[in-house]
Amino acid sequence: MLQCPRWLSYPVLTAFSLIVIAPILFLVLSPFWHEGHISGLYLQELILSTRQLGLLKTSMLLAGTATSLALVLGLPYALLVERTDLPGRSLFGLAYIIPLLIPPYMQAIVWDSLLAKGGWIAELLPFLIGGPFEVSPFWAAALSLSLAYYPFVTLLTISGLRGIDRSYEDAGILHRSPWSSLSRITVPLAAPHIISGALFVFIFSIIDFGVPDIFRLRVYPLEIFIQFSGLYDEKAAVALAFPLLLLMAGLVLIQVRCMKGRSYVGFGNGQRKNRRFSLGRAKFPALAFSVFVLCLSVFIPVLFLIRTTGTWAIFMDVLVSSWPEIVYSFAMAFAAALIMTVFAFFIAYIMERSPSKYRGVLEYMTQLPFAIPAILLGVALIKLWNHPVTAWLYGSSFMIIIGYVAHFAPFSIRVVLSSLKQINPHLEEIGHLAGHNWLRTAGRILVPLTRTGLLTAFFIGFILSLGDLGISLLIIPPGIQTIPIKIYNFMHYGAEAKVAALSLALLGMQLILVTGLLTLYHKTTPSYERP
Amino acid sequence: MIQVKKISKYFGTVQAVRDVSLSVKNGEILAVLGPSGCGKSTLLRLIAGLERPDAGTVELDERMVSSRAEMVPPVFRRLSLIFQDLALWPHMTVSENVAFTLSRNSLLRSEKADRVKEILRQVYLLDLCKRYPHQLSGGERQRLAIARAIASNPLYLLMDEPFNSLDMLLKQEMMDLTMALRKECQMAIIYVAHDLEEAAYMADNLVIINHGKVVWSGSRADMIGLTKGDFMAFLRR
Repeated sequence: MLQCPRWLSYPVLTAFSLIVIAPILFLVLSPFWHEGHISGLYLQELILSTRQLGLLKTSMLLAGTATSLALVLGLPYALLVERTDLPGRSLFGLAYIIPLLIPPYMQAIVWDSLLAKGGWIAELLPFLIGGPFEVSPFWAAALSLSLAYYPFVTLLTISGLRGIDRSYEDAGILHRSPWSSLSRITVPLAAPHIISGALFVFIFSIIDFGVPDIFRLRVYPLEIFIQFSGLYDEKAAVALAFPLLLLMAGLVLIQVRCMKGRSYVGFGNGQRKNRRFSLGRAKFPALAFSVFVLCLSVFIPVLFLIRTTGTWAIFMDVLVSSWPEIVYSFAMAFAAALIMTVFAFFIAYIMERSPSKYRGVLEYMTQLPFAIPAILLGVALIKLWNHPVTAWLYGSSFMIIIGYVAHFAPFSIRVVLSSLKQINPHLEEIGHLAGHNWLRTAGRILVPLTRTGLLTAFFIGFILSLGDLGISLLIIPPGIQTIPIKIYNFMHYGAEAKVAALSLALLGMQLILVTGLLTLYHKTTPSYERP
Repeated sequence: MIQVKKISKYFGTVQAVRDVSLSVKNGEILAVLGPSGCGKSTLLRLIAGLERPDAGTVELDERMVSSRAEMVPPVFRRLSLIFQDLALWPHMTVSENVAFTLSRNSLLRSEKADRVKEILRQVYLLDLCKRYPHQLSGGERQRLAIARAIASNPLYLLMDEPFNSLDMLLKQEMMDLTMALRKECQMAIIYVAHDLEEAAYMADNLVIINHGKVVWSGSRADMIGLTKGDFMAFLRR
């Protein structure tokens, strides 16, 4: 197998280490280093104290509940869309992406109002249940997180289901009922993807800052933020988070192992379309379930935002006054997504072509950053880059881009790596045998064949960067705001209409952009990629 | 007895199978020969009930099981199909692969375990019963595919070029095993191949398909005079 040329791998790995790995190293070593010496000052903080244990318990409980809810919503939704004759499945297959455009803090703003005393749903629930009923902040936070993140379960499950060779299911239905075949063959074969999706939700939920802040839940990210921004003690903040970091490191290891070498993709005889099972009488309950999921995650939040905004004049007023922040946020997210995608392509290529003994370590190291709470990563970035030598960089918008790349690059790498794994290495070798250099072979063979993966990586990087609050909040240069920060500030001033109007504007623009990108993608899809 | 009557199947505008008729009696092997992409696999999938025909019918023991209007689910046809890629379930062990095909039968757990053992002994895989498909050699996988196919005592067995990737010796062994099973179980077998000698060795009857149509059919006696040149001539028609 061909290996990555050194002139490429060395600079790329160095840049990756500086941007992505250095903050993690700082976090790991920081509690042991005090005033230029190895110190045990914060050592006692590393051991699970009662405070840490309490935080860990609440954080895990919240993330666990959000993950369970996300599985309840996302898994059946994926199975219905991908494996049944659900009416309108093409529409449902696209619509579940919309919640990805609604950042979790936005879901939290909506559900906080709806479930609080006097909220629409809080008023409605006792009538439906037939008695007094109150949703606690914990459950409201878990619901908000699950509604924001269930698309990850759906997305990964659908990807897993599409990878299953049709003949496995055909072999099943020759001997067993469709239901048995679905539960004993289809779902277990997609299990690594389902587990991976669930782990994504768990990790995202446990490191989320915005949602627990809105519901005033004392979880790890919030406490770290208070420790850092309230008491200006970054070492204590890192030491406090140490058990969480260890837990995250373990979860990422499970996640990486879960997907490793378990592609479960067979080599069929040209049967590309997957089998769809007939729902029969269950068609209408299944349709109702799918509509219900979309109602909770899209229609209700959007309707609420429209109603809270009030008038078109308020919407336009907020839109015009926030235009500089909107342009800035889109520019930062676009630049970060572009850099992430290029980075992801090179890193994924280096990983795929590395000797297998290094590949596992590389894969783990590239996935680790996304498990670091954004607030903590922000602290590490400040301490690392806020030096006289790098002051020119620290005070500029590049810092925001570095922050987004450091936090969200693992997703782009994962997506591009999956795409690269699908490509037969012989295709590239033939290019080299024909006398083309690496750049030309990559440009003419690898990039066109990983086109879908690269576009997906860009899309995910863009959306995640645009919705980020945790990192931006800490490392934004003075005098500048991103839209999430502006929404966050409005929220703390109690300007509900402005929060709703700006959230709507953000959502609308993302929708327009995504629709444009999807249309462009479908129009330019080459015939060999069409099913 | 399997009877296929004037069956046709379209995929979009492409007609994969055109007015094909054939029949196979119990205890007989019918070989279906033809070049790649001629519709052989689609024909088997139509018989198995994995595809709905656009015209024509499939009858099993004079009971209509497939037509444009009506389809008996595959699970109720008492047939098995050995796929070209074998389609062994990768998350199940050798035993589980076989046992999964038995569960719809009203067998007790102990009876089922005995049946799995019996079948695996028959194909010399009993010692490997706890292994996963990826831990088996090529020949062992083929034997597992056969074991899985015959475990539920099917009346009809459809084989889609199952021994393609095997070397000559292993292929011979598998063909002998199939013929022994035919004799023992009195199954009607349709065997898709693209090698004339292989077909002549195993089959009682032969049909040659090209562009989705039957271009020649005959018995073993008719096959004797058939040369590779004749076979090529049929494919050029």
